[in-house]
Amino acid sequence: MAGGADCKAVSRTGCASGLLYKSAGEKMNLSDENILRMEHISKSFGAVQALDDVHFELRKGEIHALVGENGAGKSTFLNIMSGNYRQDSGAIYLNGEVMQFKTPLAAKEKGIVKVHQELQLIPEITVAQNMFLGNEIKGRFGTINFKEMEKKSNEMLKMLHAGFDSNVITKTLSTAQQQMVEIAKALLNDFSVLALDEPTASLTNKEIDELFKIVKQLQRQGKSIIYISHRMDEIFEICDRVTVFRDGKYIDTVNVSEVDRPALVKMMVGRDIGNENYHTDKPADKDVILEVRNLTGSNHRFENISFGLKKGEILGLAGLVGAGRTELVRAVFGADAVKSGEIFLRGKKITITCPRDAMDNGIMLIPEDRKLQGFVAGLTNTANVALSNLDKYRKNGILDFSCMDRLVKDITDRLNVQPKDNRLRTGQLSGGNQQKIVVAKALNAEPEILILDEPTRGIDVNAKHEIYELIRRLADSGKSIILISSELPEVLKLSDRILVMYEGKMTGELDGREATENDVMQYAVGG
Amino acid sequence: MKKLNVNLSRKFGIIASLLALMLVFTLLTNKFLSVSNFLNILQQAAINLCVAVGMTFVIITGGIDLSVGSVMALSGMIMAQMMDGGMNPLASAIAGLAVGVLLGALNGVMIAKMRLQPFLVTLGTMSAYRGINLIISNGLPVRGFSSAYVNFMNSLNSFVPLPIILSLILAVAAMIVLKYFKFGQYLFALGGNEEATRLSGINTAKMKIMTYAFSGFCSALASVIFLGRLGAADPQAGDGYEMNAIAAAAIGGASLAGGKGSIVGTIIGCLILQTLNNGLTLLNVQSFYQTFAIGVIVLIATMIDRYSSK
Repeated sequence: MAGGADCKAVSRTGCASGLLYKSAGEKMNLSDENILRMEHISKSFGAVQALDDVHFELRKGEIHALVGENGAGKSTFLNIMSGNYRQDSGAIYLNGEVMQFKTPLAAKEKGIVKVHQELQLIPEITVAQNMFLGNEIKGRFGTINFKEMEKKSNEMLKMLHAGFDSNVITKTLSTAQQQMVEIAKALLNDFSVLALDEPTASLTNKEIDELFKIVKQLQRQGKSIIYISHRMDEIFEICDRVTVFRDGKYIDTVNVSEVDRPALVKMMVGRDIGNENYHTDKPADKDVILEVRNLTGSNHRFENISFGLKKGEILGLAGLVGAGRTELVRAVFGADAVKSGEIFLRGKKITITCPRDAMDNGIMLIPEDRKLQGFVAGLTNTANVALSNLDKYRKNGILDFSCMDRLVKDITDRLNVQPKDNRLRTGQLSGGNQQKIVVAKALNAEPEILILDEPTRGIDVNAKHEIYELIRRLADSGKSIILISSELPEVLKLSDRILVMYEGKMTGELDGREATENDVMQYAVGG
Repeated sequence: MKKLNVNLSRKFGIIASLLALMLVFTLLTNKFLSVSNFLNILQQAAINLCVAVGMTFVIITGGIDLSVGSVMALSGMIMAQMMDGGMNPLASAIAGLAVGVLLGALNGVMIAKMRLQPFLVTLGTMSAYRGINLIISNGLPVRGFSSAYVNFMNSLNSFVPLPIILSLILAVAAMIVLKYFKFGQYLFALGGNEEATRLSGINTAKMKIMTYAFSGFCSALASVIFLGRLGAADPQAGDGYEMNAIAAAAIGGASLAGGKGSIVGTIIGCLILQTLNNGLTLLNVQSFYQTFAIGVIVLIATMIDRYSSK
């Protein structure tokens, strides 16, 4: 029996790898046959109608983009399709047959596989163990055959050009690498429908290229792919058709070749979005408000960094994932220890040993990972936003909740947090609105210097636009901004000045209005 | 809104359970329903309530304090020895409370500064503090230290006994801190997501040390009551009290995962445990069965919690 299980596992993975290796020259064949059809799907959570009578059709062998703003219902839709949630009404047809998946496993057995947006790996075990979790290859005596699992995992990782081995402990990998593991894990299964929810959110350009190659290969083998991304370029690069959801409703399905970017954005947000230049004509202020001199991190993830930040300036911090940007700003904020170096505020030396010190000096950080570092999922929006500055709501030492509700609502309304009920727990909101809560919390601290680390990761065009405008408004009102983003266009669109890091060192400084992606990349790969 | 409803319905749920329990005992024995018996229940519950209030704070942070029984016994022993040596009872009580705070803070420092796990730290100090107690007392109880003190704590001429008043003052103060003070808000945030709380500019290490120190204070206050009621300090006192305190907090809705818990819930949790104890004793049920019943109650509360939060 154990031997049988062994064979099954081998043949399954063998099959997937065989398919991947098939010649790239095969003719693309978009058949009209629908492999998956979902009709009149509705779903609500309490008072929130997440999906309202939506349709979706997926043809065999197509890459079908699903787009919409945060809270449009994309994630809920995928969760219904993959058996995580059950719809309130509506039907799912797989190859013309009505299906109702009770569990993700049931959907998986029918060939529907989903790669999660949030990482769902177990940090303490090896990559191979994660990839085969629940599907372990058994040895002769029913023991787990780790060697075989590592071998199969390595083959898959190699195909993805992942650049790491499957016997490493998962938590030692970067976020991007872990994302790669999630994808590799999904590919181990034989499937007919693959849903990728924001797969590139934390990948580097090289990794994205590899992913696209693989997605296209899968397509040529007749697999159907549902692709969710907030990066418009990606949709135009690899997708065949696109379906748009807005506010839980189905808007339209069109061929990608027949729309352009502004038209698609308009379908998503329901209106035109203005021009995408957030630069100011105002000449930069001369006053240097923050100066960092020869800062070296205690873990040497960055070394000997010096820079100045002017009043009212947006300073972009560019570089590849792992260049040490996040570590640098965390150290400036006092979240991590430094080994040596000095920080000056308005010419006066300050000592920062913990986030409180930084905040007392008017420095605030919006951290990279909102779920782990940004907010408390179980608290209400009001409590989360208020957390950074409770003193504001104290009268004689006692918290004044009506004052707190009012002042927090001012901020969340300004940021257009949806739904407009601050008594909801932040964990219940969509990703983009959670990010707005994190931003609201930072603004509540009333900082002079705001550091934003990946402020728009995984959020939609409209919310991105709102955050860009907000950043510009803050800078225009005299706040100083440090902006980190792995999306280069974002840095270029906003920054007055751009600093580029490479492997923990500062390699270049550019004027934000004149710099091109090429200029930045030159420095980002070592100059 | 939704969260609020869940919380409210949960609270009504445990209040209803308490009332149902009382109804059952009222029907089964005519000795149950009387003012003096209710005061008796409250008085018996007072010690556990003190300990459980501190435990609730600790549990909200996502931690646990197994050393409460040992802290209670050690601070009680020091108080008794001081009074035995002729020291003023009030000064001795204050010194005892200070010892409790110190022992709790020591737990907190190891947990917050050295980043050790709360379960293991307090498991260690549970034994270490007990050991210190046995050493300084030679394993012998201290008796007859201050009749004035014992009389004061048992002043039955006043209508509501002092232990009830002390424990309720503590509980109400804790309730107010949890709801209306910065510290309380931070406590829930800390238990829900420590890193996000730290990055919001909150000194989470200091918070944890204060929380464990408070738990130590609560245990010492329990021992102030305990000494008065018993008139003796036993080096073996408080053994197993951590379990009653955890049970009361858990019945009251505190989640061992952190970020959840309430003092009202803990008070009702204590009352449910004590009512059960009292009622079964009145019915002459063997204490073996009482132990079993308490275990079942904790399991039922846990199940209710699991399925009501779904």
